[in-house]
Amino acid sequence: MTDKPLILGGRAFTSRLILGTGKFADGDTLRRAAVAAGAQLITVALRRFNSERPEEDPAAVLASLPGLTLMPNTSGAMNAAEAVRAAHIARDLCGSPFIKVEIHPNPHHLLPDAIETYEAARILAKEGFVVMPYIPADPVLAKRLEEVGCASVMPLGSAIGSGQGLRMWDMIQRIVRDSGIPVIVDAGLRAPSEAAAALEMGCEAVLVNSAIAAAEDPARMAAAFAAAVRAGREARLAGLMARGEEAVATSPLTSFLRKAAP
Amino acid sequence: MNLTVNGEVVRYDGPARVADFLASRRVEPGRVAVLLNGDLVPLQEREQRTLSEGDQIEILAFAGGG
Repeated sequence: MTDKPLILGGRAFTSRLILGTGKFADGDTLRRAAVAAGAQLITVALRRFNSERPEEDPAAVLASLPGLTLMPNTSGAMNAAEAVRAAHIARDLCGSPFIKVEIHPNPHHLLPDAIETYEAARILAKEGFVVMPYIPADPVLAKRLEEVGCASVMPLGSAIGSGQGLRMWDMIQRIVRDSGIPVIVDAGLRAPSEAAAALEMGCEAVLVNSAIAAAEDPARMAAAFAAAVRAGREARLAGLMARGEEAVATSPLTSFLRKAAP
Repeated sequence: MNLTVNGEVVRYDGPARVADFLASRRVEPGRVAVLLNGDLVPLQEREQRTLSEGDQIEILAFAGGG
């Protein structure tokens, strides 16, 4: 089956599973999961350097894998100004133009701040970043972010790390219907079937971290997500049948088995 | 001289170039970003820029994140 690659910031990706690198037990587990996921785009976070544990740098851990693009996030930023600053630091560090704008000031729910996210995305897009904002599942906001030059929008399925799946289904569907840029479900997924459902709905990719990192066998779960994403994408391209209210027989309903009345 | 490094006050009496200071901290140069008093010091400027008493330095690296 042929498919067009996912284009983000002028780069072509054949993998539609973006991998987050948080919460992995160690570098080797992360590396094996990244290979099993077939990931080509990988998120990383910024933090203060720790000379005691430098091996934790996922960019170093994954450096030997070919064809990976890093997408630093702005996690920790409380507002647009801090996110812009984080983006500049991250670009200095890895040279990647990709930035996941992530501004969630409330640690209890980690829901994205729409206003600060919009402002940061607007500034960074103008500066030439490939801007991938993590957003509430709001179709109006998604459209506004498209208008200021974002490369994609990444609405949450449910709260970060919650494993509650596609709780925002209806709103994500509306975003997909109206969006001229790729829609990527980011956050909240737990099972590969949810990733498949997102792709079937028309999302162009999913970003998965906790569901893989916190699985009993992360590499195996990464492979499962990769297969689900491929299946969901194929189903989308194949075109799902229309949903109906009534049963429609798939076998002929003839009466030859019935005894004729005496 | 006294420096504030990642929020901690440290004594440093080695050569004053940023690159030398980083080497003293066992930092792999390409794996960190450096802020000197809030300003980014890119890799190619770390041989020229020098530290002085009371400077604030942030050394940042990538970590796992989603």
